[in-house]
Amino acid sequence: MEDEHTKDIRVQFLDHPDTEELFASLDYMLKDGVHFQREGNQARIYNYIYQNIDSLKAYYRFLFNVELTFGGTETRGYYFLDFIGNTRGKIDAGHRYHMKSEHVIIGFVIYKIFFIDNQIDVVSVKDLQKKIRNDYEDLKPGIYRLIAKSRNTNPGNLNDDAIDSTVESALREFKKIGWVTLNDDDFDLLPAFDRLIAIHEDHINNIDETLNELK
Amino acid sequence: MNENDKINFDFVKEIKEPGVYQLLFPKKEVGLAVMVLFEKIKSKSLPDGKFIEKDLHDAFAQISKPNERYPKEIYSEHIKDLQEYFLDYNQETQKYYFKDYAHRFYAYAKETLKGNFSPTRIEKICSLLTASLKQRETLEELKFWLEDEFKKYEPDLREQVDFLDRQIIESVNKLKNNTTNSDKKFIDLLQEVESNLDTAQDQSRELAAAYSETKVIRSILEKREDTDSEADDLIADVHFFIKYLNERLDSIDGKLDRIQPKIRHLFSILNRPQFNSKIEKFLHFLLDNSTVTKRKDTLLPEVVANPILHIDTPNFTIVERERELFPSKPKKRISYKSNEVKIEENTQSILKVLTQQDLIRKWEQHIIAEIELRGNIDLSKVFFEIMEETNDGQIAVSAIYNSIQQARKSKSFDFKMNKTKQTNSKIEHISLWKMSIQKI
Repeated sequence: MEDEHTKDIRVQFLDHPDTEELFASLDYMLKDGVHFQREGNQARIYNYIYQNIDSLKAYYRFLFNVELTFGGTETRGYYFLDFIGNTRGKIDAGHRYHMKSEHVIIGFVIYKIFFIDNQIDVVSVKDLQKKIRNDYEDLKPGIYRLIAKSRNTNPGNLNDDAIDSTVESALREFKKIGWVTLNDDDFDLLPAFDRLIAIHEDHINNIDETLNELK
Repeated sequence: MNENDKINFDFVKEIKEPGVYQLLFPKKEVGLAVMVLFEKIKSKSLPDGKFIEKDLHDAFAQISKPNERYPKEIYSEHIKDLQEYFLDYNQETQKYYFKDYAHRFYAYAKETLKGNFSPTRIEKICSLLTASLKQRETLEELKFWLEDEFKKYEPDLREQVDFLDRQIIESVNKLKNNTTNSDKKFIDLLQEVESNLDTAQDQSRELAAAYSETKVIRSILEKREDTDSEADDLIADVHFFIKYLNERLDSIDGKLDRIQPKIRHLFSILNRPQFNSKIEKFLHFLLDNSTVTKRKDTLLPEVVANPILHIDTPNFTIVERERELFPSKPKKRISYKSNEVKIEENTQSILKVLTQQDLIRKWEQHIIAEIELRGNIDLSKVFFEIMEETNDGQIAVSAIYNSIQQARKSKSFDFKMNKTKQTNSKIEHISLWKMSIQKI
């Protein structure tokens, strides 16, 4: 009993009964950018982080200077290592990987489809590809230019194929970091998908000023 | 109708014949007037389902709201058309009534729209079908059941799934087509859709239970051995139909499982229409101001940084002997015989330890339960109790020791000890101090 109070908080998680089993893979995944939420087979790791949050936070802050962070709401929360918030992190620039611009854009398109336009019956990759191809005329010129990288901003087979494959690769990337589930053609958004918005929240809030400056 | 007629009947050709289709499916103002009359029969304002020409004219007028003078000629024309499949006229009573086709026409349209959800009815139909199937002894009887009885109820069985499916699609569409800008209205809409979907989920479960009787039908059919190829085809149809129903229900369940969490999420991001419109602006900003380099890399506008996805994790270098390069010499395989006696001995000793631990835990629980129940416990007495029962000092000592530890750590228990010696007549050579635990 006495021991635990004086023990360094940075190593307290070592005494947790599940550490031996879970920590190594958890550590790898966190550094790989995975977000953990109380869903499916992630639930166990989520609970483990929840139980050891103070200790794990201290560990990552001390050794790597990255913040183990909780995002979202209490009912739809997620844990992740925040590589963005820190500038003096002990991870040098050559070892950081950035999300591709195409995927950021597709991410926002997906957000718009689900949470602004309430198209909640889109449940498969094919549905999503079709929706973007057919129902978003106003977004398409930009998507053709930036994603199909085509000078021709009119609809066409090549442009559509490029969109389809980028949508798919974006979803695969999002799956790797725990933002979506993806099994064959089925996909669902996970709570951590909100992180895309959280990352850009400042810019979004100041978008009117940004647009004014451009004029 | 003999077999030959059946084969030669070309439905499409028949219905294409002049006038047939139009008479089977009357035009809107005529069909609607028929529906009006049926509703009146239903509400008993036309007793016995009989009516006169005046009632027909009233119904036509109600639907088409004539702005010219009484179009008697047109109405007579309508009535003449209806008399082919819809209307019958009894010359003795001089009254009209509807033919069977009209009844079906009305009932089918109404049921489709109203969506008469009734799993109890499905259950009744299913048990009726099962009961009747059980009595079909000869092959001919079985064929009659397959061809006429089961087929007759197929629409009823299918209709319920259609109804559920349509309900879900309608609810979801309401949400998708939402144009309201008011939060309040949107919350109401979300709540309505959510409760509709909850209902659909309950109904899907009820329906699955109601359909469960079809399993009995399937197994009875599977057991029939007297079938010929015609009956086999019909049985295959039944199996296919039952499978189809179950698949539809599964797919409805799957759909609900995936839509519901999204609705819950919509609730959680409510109250931010302003933020959402900014997100849309931001998306357009990205689309308009991102650039593509000569090397075909897409770059976001300068002010927006690409999110850092992950950092490098080490790849372990695995040092391995390359089997191909250094093949090992073939060796004789030595198989080890296990010593069964030793294994049994070890197993027993492990089992003994495990039972011992179980007993210790059981006694600890007993002690804590006693304290909770009576407020205190005489540990010395319990010690001898354990000794009497197990004759194992290890168990008694461990259980008592663990309980004391627990009491010391706990804020709600108080451990007391005095040096009066306690003994027990049945357990010789052992004495201990008086110990007790109290609940505070």
